Amino acid sequence: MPFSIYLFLVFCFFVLALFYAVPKKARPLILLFSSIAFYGLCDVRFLALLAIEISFTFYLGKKIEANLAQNKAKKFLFLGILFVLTILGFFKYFNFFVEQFSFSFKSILLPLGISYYSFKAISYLIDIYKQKRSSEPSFTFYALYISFFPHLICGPIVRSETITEPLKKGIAYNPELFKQGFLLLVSGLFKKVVIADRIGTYINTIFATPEAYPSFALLLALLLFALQLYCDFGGYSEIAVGFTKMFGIPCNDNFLRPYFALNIRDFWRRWHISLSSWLRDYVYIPLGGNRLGKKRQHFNTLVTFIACGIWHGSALHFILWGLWHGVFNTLTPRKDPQLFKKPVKILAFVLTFSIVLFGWLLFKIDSAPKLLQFLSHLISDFSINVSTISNSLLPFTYSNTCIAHFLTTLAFVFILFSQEYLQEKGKDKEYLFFTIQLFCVFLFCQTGNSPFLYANF
Amino acid sequence: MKKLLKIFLSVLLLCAIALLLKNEFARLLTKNSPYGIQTLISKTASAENLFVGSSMFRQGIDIFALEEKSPGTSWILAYNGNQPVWEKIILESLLNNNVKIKTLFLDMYAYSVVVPPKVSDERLFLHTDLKTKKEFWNILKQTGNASLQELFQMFVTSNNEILWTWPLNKKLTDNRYLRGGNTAFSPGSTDSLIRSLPPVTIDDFSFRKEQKNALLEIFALCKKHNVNLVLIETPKYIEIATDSNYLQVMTEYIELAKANRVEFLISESTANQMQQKDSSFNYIERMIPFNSDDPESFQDRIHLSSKGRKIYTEKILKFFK
Repeated sequence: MPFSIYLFLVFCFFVLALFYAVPKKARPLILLFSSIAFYGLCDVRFLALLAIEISFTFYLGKKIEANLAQNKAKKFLFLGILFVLTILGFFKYFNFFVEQFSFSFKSILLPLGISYYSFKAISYLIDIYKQKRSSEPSFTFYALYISFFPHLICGPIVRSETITEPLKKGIAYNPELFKQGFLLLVSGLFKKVVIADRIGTYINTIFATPEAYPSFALLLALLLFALQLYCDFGGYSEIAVGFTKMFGIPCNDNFLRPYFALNIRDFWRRWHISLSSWLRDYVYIPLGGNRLGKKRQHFNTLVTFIACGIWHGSALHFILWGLWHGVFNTLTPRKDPQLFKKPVKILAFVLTFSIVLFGWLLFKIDSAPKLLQFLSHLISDFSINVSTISNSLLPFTYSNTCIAHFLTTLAFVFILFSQEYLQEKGKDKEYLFFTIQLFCVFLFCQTGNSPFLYANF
Repeated sequence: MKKLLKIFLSVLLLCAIALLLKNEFARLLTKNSPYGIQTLISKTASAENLFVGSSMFRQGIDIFALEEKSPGTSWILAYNGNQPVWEKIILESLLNNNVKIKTLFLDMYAYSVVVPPKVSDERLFLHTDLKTKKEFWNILKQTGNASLQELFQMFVTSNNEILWTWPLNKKLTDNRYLRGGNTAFSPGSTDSLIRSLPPVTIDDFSFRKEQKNALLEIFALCKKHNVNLVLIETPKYIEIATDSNYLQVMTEYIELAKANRVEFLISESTANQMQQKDSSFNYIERMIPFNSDDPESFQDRIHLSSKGRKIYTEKILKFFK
């Protein structure tokens, strides 16, 4: 069954009602069975793979803990990481090698959410080895951590304690947490079904045949792609975190107004926080972090960002995208950008956004000739006049409604960034924006089966 | 949490009221637009030449040339991907509102008769009242194409973008139209560009029963109200004009017109194919010659550019002379 946001919402509210209807002790079991049912409904073919990965890493977690005093723990940790990465690597990169070396194998499907649950399992094993936590005594709690259905498709990649600790304490209804969750849910829906799904068709149309459109349309499509990625993934993350909170489990945000970043390092503190902190804790710091001198620190940064690119996909353009961010990360001065004066801040914002925007071009276009063609058309033929503007707006709907759709999109972008700007300034008008966003969700949501972009990673 | 719930319920109530008003009364806003059903009903109450069809009519018929060279008022009612099932409802709506039509030109759009009834242009809901919307919905239900998603799109989300940007949007779009015809410049294309555009994807090219029945009902309505009916095939780019599936649908379309003694005008490639199949009928007589392999006359595979529009309309007018 294809993953649809609306079916997901129906499923979540059904489980939520069931969750609070049963006694506290039974609630983790409700969540576990719901998670299994959810994965089965989405893609039953890989349910067994998920079960094997959960069981084996649970067993290895016990083994690592039992052997901490002797030196065998490292072997079990190595075995666990190898096991998880082999499965992940096989499913994620098999098609890439088949294509690259023209092997005559059929391409294989990517199990849903494998990149997310694999990283969760690895962090659990490493945390036990580093004695940051003890192995989880309850198989139910561990299985729930790996398969927790709001986080299964697109993360966030939370640490095991986030899920297991509240479960151990027992989950009661927490009105404040529930309210926070509901606010996030509406905000996430606004981003996903009102903004991201609205602009998807335009972006796909322009990127499919950029040469057929004026260069202004290319710039517009690139800007909208940056917006779409954020609203699609950030929106889903808010929905997932929102439901987590509504289930009574505290959970950190996965995005923190990333396009307000003032340098690339700042951007990665705000974008896909659960992945960037995972890479920091389990790749960058184990490589030596900043403890082994400047050169080694730069090398570690580049390796971490290449790993980030590889996590996103097997194609070379993802590695280039990772490298692009890695290079600018090493070039970023250490000074806190919030201390800059206002004109410098504006300059830093523009520069950072431009770097991120070019990065998204590397992320989106999968071949060098296509990228060069796009760039040359964008730069050499650039002009703004009535004709280029009208021909650039036409692909929104291919009718006289295109202007209305464009103006509506602009209004939504204004609402989104006004809220974020006020949040940056520490003024959170949560009820005002909740009301506006709710209106927009009811009246302007895009129906249909738009998949989540980050579910493919 | 109580405050949140109160806001939630208030927003829900306000949305429900807004939707009721929209579905019944939003059409009145369009009375003064230079396009759409409501303007035709309220402004003219008569049309010498009425073109009802898809975006191909909007893009393919030059309203200035029509105005200049043909007597009486000409109107183009074009909705994207318009299908016979909706064209029948439009025609009924016009006749019920006493609009006098001398000649009705109906778009012979082959791809619209091989797909099940679906709403391909939401402006149909902006230009109609709640009763007509219900009629649309009943057709979707009868043909098994009604879904919760369609219902939501029809009655909740359709046209909200246009309505809330109405004053600005109206100003920006109105000067692009004259009696439903597109007056804005549409640039021509190149062969490689047209061929690089995503292809038309249709799985089954068989003529749909619902669409055929709707066409028969249109034929009957025209007879009943003494409206001259002419079916027109607008030019398609060579790639489509010579496509065997396309030509097969057109063959059936023409057979239907012939069986019901309805006038039709067809393109060169269609006429040639029909003549080869059946030499007893003079198809060449009903052919409007047009250079289908000139990419500059086309915007894409099915829509004409400004250049193509002018050439084609002049050829139609010559045909009538």
